[in-house]
Formats: sequence, C-alpha cells, structure tokens
Amino acid sequence: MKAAALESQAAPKGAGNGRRWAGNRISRFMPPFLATMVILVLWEAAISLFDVPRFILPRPSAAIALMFTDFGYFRPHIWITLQETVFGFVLAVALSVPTAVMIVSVSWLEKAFFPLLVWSQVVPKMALAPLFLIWLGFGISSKILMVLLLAFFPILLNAMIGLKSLEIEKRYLAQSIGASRLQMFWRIQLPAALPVMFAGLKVGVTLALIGAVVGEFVGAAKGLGRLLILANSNLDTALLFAAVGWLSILGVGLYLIIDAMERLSIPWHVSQRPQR
Amino acid sequence: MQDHDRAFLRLDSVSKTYKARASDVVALDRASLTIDRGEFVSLVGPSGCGKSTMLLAIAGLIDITSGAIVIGEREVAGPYTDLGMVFQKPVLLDWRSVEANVMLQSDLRKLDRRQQLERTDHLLGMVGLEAFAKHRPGELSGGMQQRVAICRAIVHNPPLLLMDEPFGALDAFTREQLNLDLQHIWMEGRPTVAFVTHSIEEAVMLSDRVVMMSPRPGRIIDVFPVDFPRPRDEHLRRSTEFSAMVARIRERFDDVGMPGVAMTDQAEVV
Repeated sequence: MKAAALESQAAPKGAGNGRRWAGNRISRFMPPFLATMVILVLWEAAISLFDVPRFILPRPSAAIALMFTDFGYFRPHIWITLQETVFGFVLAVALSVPTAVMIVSVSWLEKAFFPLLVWSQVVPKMALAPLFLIWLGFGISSKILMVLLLAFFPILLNAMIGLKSLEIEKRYLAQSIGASRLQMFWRIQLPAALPVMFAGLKVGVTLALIGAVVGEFVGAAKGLGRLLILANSNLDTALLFAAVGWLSILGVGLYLIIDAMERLSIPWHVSQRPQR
Repeated sequence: MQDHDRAFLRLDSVSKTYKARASDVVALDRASLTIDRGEFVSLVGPSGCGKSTMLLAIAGLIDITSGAIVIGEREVAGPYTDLGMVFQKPVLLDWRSVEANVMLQSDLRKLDRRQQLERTDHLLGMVGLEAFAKHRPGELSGGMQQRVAICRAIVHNPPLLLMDEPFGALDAFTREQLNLDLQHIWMEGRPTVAFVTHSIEEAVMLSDRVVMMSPRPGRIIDVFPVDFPRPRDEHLRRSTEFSAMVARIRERFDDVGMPGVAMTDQAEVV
C-alpha cells in the first residue's frame, strides 16, 4: 500500500551493515586505547620527573616488559586462575539459570527460598574463604567454590528478572494461541529474557575472576592472586603490576567472550543495533 | 434483537469487579450483547468504560465475576483459542522475522506449514509488506508493525477476531490507511470482529454496529447500526452522511453526560 511504501524509506536497509560494523569496531576501540596510552605515558613521565623509588611504583614500561618477556613464568599462574574462573563461572551458570527458572515458575519456591538467597548474598563471602580451605584444601576446588558463590547471585537475579518481566500482552497472545507451558517457556519467555540474562552473565564473569583471586589470596600454591601476594611481600612492584596486567587481560578477554556470545544469540535486541 | 440463528457471540449480563485496596472497582456492569456471525462490532467509550476488560473476558484471559459468555455453542472458561487477537501494542517477538512472527500461529498450533507460509506471504502482500518478510520487527515503523500484528491475528483464518485499540498509538494518517487495510483483509474471510476503540470516526468507518459504553461502572448504554455499503473508502469518510452519523453518536455521549469524550486520540491506560 501507499503508506507502506512511504514508510519503507525510513527503515534501514540490510545491505552495507557489515562494513559499517567493522568501522564501528575501530571507532569503538580507538578512544579507550588512546586514553590508556595517555595515562601510561603520564605515569612513565611522572616517575622520571619525581624520581619515585621502584618499590613504591614501577615504571609501566618495566611492568609491561616483564609481562611479556617473562611470559613463561606467568603462564602456569594464568592457566590456574583461568581454570578456576571458567569452571566456577560455568558451574554458576549451570546452577543459577535452572534455579531461576524453578523459582519463577513455582511461586512457593520463591517465597521459601528467595529470602535465603538474599541473605546468603549479604553475608560477606570473603569471610568464608578460610573455611573453604579447610573443607577443600589448597587446590583449585576451594577457589572454584568461591567463584561459584560470587557469580551465582547476579546471574540468578538477572535471569529471574528477565523471566518475570514478560509483558502481559505477550503472555495473553501466547495463551490465545493455546501455547502449552513448554511452548510458553521456550518460544516466548526464555528468548524474551535473554537480554537481561546476558547482563547478569557479564556481571557474573567479572565477579568470577575476583572470586578466583580472593580465593588465592587466602591460600594457594599457584595462580595470579598467589603471585600478587608474593610480589607484595617482596616489594616487587613491577611483578605485582605485571600480574595485575595479566589479570585485567583475562578479565577483559572473558567479558568480550560473553559479549560476543550475546551478539550471536540476540542480534535482534536494541542493545546490539548499530548506532546511527 | 438479533436473529437467533446468526448469533455467534453472546454476552449474558457479564460483570467484572476488580478487587482494589480501598474499594472494589466495577469494570463491567451487567453487559449483555449479541454479535452475529461475520459481524464487525466496535466498542466505543472513554477510558475506564470496561471495553478492554470486555475483550479480555471474551478471550477468556480474565475471569468474569458473574454472567456468561458463549461463543458458538461453547461457554468461555479459560483462554479461548479459536480466535485471533490484536493489542494496542504490536506485541511482536523481536527475535523473529516479520514472516516468522506471522508464522507463530502455525508454529504453536502445529498447522500445515507450507499452506500457512503461502497465506502469510499473501497477507503480507495485502498490507504492502512483502518486501519486509525477512526483516526484524525492530526495523519497521509502528504502523508497519501493527500491520504485521493484524496478519498474525488472521493468518489461521479464525472465526473470531478481537482487537483492543489496535490503532490507538498511531498517527492519524497511518491510522486511516490501516482502517482501509483492515477492512480489505476482513472482507476476504469475514470473521466476526469485536473492535475496541475510543475514536467514533474509526468505529463508524469500520463497523456494522457501534456499541457505546459508559465508564465507572462500565455499562453498555446504546447500540448504533451503521449501514454504509462496503467497501467503505476515503470518500465516505468525507461525506455528510458519515459526519452526521458520527455527530449522532457524539451527541448521544453528550446527552449521557460525557461531553467531549471519545474525541481525543490519547492512549488509554486501564
């Protein structure tokens, strides 16, 4: 019809999105990259200018050089911390998403268990870390438990919010089509909840890394957290910053993986559309 | 009032009371109405007159407090599924393409896929959206999205179509175009339609009968037959007969103490 033809001009065309997207990537990563460079240069300059001793603050160039020249030294620590984080995070997702589904679909479960879950969140979990050592030993399992504990709640909460905030009209629509409970969940409720769920995964994955480091602080044989403690006690600030550098690369990398998964699974969502 | 054989949908003294903290709200007060098979009936009235409540009750999506609703031979108890619904918002699933949104009926009801796909393309063509079949709803304007919603409501050839202010959120131009589109689509299969609106013009343009409702408590106060021949078009909308009909209904609203009501196009919040 006429009106549709007019409106069609307003709608974006599908072609040419690929190149625009690549351009977006560059313009997205360039500003933070430049900002980081500026900070590093100022830091380097300040140390020369004020003659800061090495045990207070290292030159960023020294820390960065250490990160890569001594990669062989860092590798086993990175590997351990990465394992703890990923195992703990995957475990947290595997436990919290089904829990969210159960809590949302059975109302008495929410009444009974949600206050407990909130309470478990209020308790400072760091305080429990020494206990985990006693239970599970110095290996990675005590750290995985800490990761699980930290990442579980935000993933659960966001999954619950996503599943519960289904528009009433969408529910009505599905009911009027005669959707079964399973159809309602898989075809309507779950896809609609995905954007909010991914927000929880992003918070969860960053907390997971923190959980691994905290776990290692308390007692570990290996890991970047363990390395931090070691560097600190030796006043080796260059090593300390190098470990922090590797931790942030790990954190950003994990975050970007979740981000990429989000792009792939919900390309339809507003947050994924190229900005105009 | 109606020939009994042709009656398709019957509301028998239907009341709906919402429990509220301070006092109960009577959304619908003993509403009785019979709609014939293939008839297009509009429910017109100001905000809070219970017209949306009536529609949801017919669909069996909310329980009624007393009375009975009978569609065909069956009394409505729980969601009634042999129908199509259109809401004020398009309520499209963002993750499905335009075509897949219309095909939702076929997917959930497990209808013949090939035949439904053909019908989907046919309907999208009728509303000028054939080029957008593979697009996502987010890439469409509000008017285009609502067209998709209408196609989805009618793709499975339901005997009953319930529309709850489908054009309430659209601008006047798009709205008038969609009125014509809807008439076009409706005349093809002639389902029975209950159409909620607060625009008297729109009701007169589309309906065989206009049911007038008053708020708090929601009651049916009058019913106006509209006999203009179909297909109705923009010429009719500009004719004096049309204006006279609209004026008659508007005066009736004035008479019962709702001056100026149902003349605004603002979105209704129930």
